[in-house]
Amino acid sequence: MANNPSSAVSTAGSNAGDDTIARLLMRNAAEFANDIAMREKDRGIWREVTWAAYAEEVLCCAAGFMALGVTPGDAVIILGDNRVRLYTGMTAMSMLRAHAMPAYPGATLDELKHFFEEARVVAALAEDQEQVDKILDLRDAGTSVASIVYDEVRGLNLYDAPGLLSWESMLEAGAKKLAAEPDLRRRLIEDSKPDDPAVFMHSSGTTGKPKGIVLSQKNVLSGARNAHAGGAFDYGEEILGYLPMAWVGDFALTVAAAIAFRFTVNVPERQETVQRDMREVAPSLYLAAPRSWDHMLTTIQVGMENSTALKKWLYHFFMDKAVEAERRKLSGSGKGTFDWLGRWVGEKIVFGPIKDQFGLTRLKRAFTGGEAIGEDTFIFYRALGIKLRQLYGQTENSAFNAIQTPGEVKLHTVGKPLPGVEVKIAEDGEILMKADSVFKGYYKNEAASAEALQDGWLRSGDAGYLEEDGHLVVLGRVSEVVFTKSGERYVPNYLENRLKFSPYIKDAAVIGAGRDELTAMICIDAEAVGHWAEVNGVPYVSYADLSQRPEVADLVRDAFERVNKAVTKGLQLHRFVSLHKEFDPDDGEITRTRKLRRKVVEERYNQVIEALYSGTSEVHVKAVVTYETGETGTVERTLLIREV
Amino acid sequence: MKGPETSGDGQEPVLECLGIERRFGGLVAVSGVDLRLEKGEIFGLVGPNGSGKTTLTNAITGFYPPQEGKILLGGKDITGTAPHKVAGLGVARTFQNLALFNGMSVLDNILLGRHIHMNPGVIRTALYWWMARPEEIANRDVVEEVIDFLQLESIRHELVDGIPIGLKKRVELARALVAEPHLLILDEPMAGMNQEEKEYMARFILDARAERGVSVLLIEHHMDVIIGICDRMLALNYGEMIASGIPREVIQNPRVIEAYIGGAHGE
Repeated sequence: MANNPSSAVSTAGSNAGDDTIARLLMRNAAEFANDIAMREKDRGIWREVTWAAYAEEVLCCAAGFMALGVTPGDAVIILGDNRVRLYTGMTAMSMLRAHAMPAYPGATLDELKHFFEEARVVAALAEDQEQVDKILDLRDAGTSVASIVYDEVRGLNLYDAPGLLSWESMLEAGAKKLAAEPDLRRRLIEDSKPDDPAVFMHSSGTTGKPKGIVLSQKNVLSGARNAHAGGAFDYGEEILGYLPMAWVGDFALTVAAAIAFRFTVNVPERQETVQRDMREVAPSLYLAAPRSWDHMLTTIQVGMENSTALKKWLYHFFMDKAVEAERRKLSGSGKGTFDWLGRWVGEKIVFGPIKDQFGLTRLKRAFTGGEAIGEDTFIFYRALGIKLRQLYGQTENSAFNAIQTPGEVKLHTVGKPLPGVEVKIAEDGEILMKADSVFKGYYKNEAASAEALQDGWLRSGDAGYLEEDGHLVVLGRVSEVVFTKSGERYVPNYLENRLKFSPYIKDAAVIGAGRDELTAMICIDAEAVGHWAEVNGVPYVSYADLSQRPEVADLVRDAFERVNKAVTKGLQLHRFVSLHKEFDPDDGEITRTRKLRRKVVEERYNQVIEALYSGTSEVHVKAVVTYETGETGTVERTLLIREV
Repeated sequence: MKGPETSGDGQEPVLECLGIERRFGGLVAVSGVDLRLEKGEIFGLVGPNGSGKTTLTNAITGFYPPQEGKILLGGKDITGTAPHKVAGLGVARTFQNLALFNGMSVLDNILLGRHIHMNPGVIRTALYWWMARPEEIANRDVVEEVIDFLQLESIRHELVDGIPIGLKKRVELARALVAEPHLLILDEPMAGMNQEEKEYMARFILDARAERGVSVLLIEHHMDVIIGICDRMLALNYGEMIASGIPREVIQNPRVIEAYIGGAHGE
C-alpha cells in the first residue's frame, strides 16, 4: 500500500461569510422571484413553485411551527419520502434555529425511539398516515411529541389524536401569526446565524447506535460552495429530489446547494415513478449510488437483449466500439480510435435514443458516491457519452470532500480534494480533513467527538493515501482494516466492493481476520440472476433455490476469479457460500443505506463461517426472518460450499 | 369507521329489490329475491357458483331485466331500464372476469369511466381548443384524483395487457369510481388475488365508502372478506335467498353451511 504521509493539499476556500439559509432564500425570492424553485408531480401534472412563493411558504411554515411551540434548540422529526412540503419544513426549521431531524421512511419504531432519547423532539412533520401511525405509536410508548403535522390527509380524516393537524391548518396558523406580529417576518429572516443548525443528521450506524450529527448553516453552505468551486455544479441546475431525505447527500444538494445556487428541484410523484419522472425532467445534475447506475445499466442491457435483431446489432456495433475506445483511454494507451464520425452517428442512432429513454439527455454532471463503482459500469456510461464522476464525501463534512474532474479520471481515485478542504494522511494511513464544512462534534457525545476531531482535523475513519498528482485514493474504513493469520493487511470492504461489481452479486461479506485464507459469503442479485436463469433455461422456484443452483455458482465464481486476478496472492478468495436470503435492513444485517453490519452478519452466520473453514462441502442453516409486520418465522436450508 | 345506518329512519334505501325473478328459457336463475341496501352500507352477496349472484347484478344494472319483481334505485323504479341509463343514474360496477380494453393504457381505460359525464359532439370536437379541451382537462383531473386514491401512479401509462391481475382489478375499480357513483357494484373484486392484494382491495373499498360516500354491493366468494368489511349480507343458493343479516350470524346458519360445505350428504 503506497503511503504518502502528511502531504497536505490546500487551496484558498471561499468563505460562506454571513450567509444563512434564510437570507439566501430571501435573496432568491427578491432577485429571481419568478424562477422555478420546486416542481412536484401531483395528479399527473408537474406543479411549479416559484422562489417567491416558496420563500413565503417557508416563512409561514416557520411561523406555524413557532405557533405550535417549537423554540430554538428543539428538534422536529421529518418523516417520509421526498415531498416539497417536507423540504419546506426542513428549511423552515433553520429559521427557527431548531433541529430538523430527517428520518428514513422505512425506519422502525426502535430506530425512531433512539432519536427521541437523543434530543428534545417536540413535533413531527409526517408524510402520510403510515408515518403518523408510527409517531402515535411512539407517543403511546411514552415519548413526548406534542404536535404532529401531516402532508397527505388520506385515511387521517377520522383520527382523533391530540396535536394532530394538517399541513394546511399549520400553515394557516402561521400566516395568521405573521400578520399579527409585524416584526416576526424580519426576525425569522434575520435571527438565525451561520453557526445555528441547518440539519440534524445521523451517522449510518454500521457499528452500534447512530450518532447525532448537527451540521450548522455555515457547514452546509461552505460545503456547497466548495463543491461549486471544485466544479461539481453551476448556478441553476435542474435536479431530481429523490434521494432519501435522511441522507446527507440529499440535504446537501436539494436544500443547501439548491438554495445557495438556485437549483430547480423536481420532486417525483412516488418512489415507484422515479424512473419515468426522471425521463420527463431530464436533470442536468444527477447523483446516484453505484448500485443505481448498475441497475440502470442492467435495465438497458436487458432491454436491448429483448429488442429486435436489427436494433440489437446496431447497439452492439456502436456500443462495443465505444466501450473499447473508453477502455483504451482509461488504460492510457492513447486516444481511442472510435473516430468522431462513429461517435456522431452512434450518438444519433444509438446513444441519444438510449439516453432519452432514461432522462439522461441533458445530463452534464453525473455523480456516483457512497462507495466505489465497478469499472464495467463506469466505462459503459463514459461510452454512452455521460461523464460519470466519483464523489467522496461524508456526513461529518457536509457531504463534499473530493470529486473527480470530468477530464482527468482515474478509476481508482476519488479525484482531488475540493478547494477549501484540506487533506492530510495520518501516520496510520487515515485520511484527515479540515474545512469550514466540517461539523463541530457529535450531538451530546463528548467522547466520540474528541475521538473524531483532533486539533481541528476531522478523522474521516477512512484509510487512504494521496498520489503524486494530488489525487486521493480511498481504501476503506480504518476500523475495518484487519489482518490474516499470516499478518496480511486488508480491508474487507475493498474486496467486497470488487465482488459486487458483478451484476449477479448484490451483497458480499469477506471473512478472513485471523484465518489462514480468505473466504466470502455472498447474496445473489435476485433480479439479474433471475433474468439470467430465465434466458438460459435454468429452472428455480425461489430465491433460496436459485442461490444454490450449480449454474449460478459458476456465474458467481467468474466474479471471484476476476477479483483474485486483481489482488495479491495472500488476499485471494478461496471458497464461498451463496446465501439463501438477501441481507436486509429489517434483519439488521445492513444499514438503511445498504452498508454491511459486519458484526451482526458474522454472528448470525457463524455456523456458515465455521463450515467455510472446516473442510465440509455443505452446511445446514436455520435462519430467523422478520416480516414487514414484525412477525418472525424460520427458514431451513442446506447451503453448498463452493471452491473458487 | 362509520357503521351502517339502520333501516326505517325515513331515508330512502340506495337500492331495493323486491321479489326478483329471472329465467333463462326453462331455467330459473333467481327467484323471489328481496334486497335492501341502505346509504353508506357495504352489503355482501354470497353463494356457491351458479347460485345467481351475477344474474341478480345483471338484473339490477339492466343487462338482463327481471321477468318479475321490481328494482328501486333511491326510491325510483328502474326495472327494465337500459344499462347505459342505469349507469347515468349513479350506478357503477366492475366485472367478475375483467372487462378492460386491452391495447389501451391504464389511464385511457380509467378515462372511459368518465363517459357518462362527457358531452361530446361534432361541433364541440371541431372546436376542440375552446370546447372539448377544457372538458377533457376537467375529466382528467377527476381521473388523476382516483389514480392517486388507488395508488396507480406508477402504472398510469402502462398498457393494461401487461399488468398483473391484482392491478387490473384495481384499474377496474378506478374506472367505476371515476363515474362518481352513489352505488358501486363489485363482482368478485378479489378473485384470483393473494392475501396481500386482498387486504389492499378491502382497504380501498372501506376508504371508498369513508371518503367518497359510496354504498357498495359486494359479490364475493372469500368469506373472510365478507365478514371483515360487510355490514350486512345475503346468501343465495340455487337462485333463492337462504339467509340474510349480519355476517357473523349468517355464516352460522345451517343452510349456509350446507350450501358452502355440503355437509348433508346421505343424512
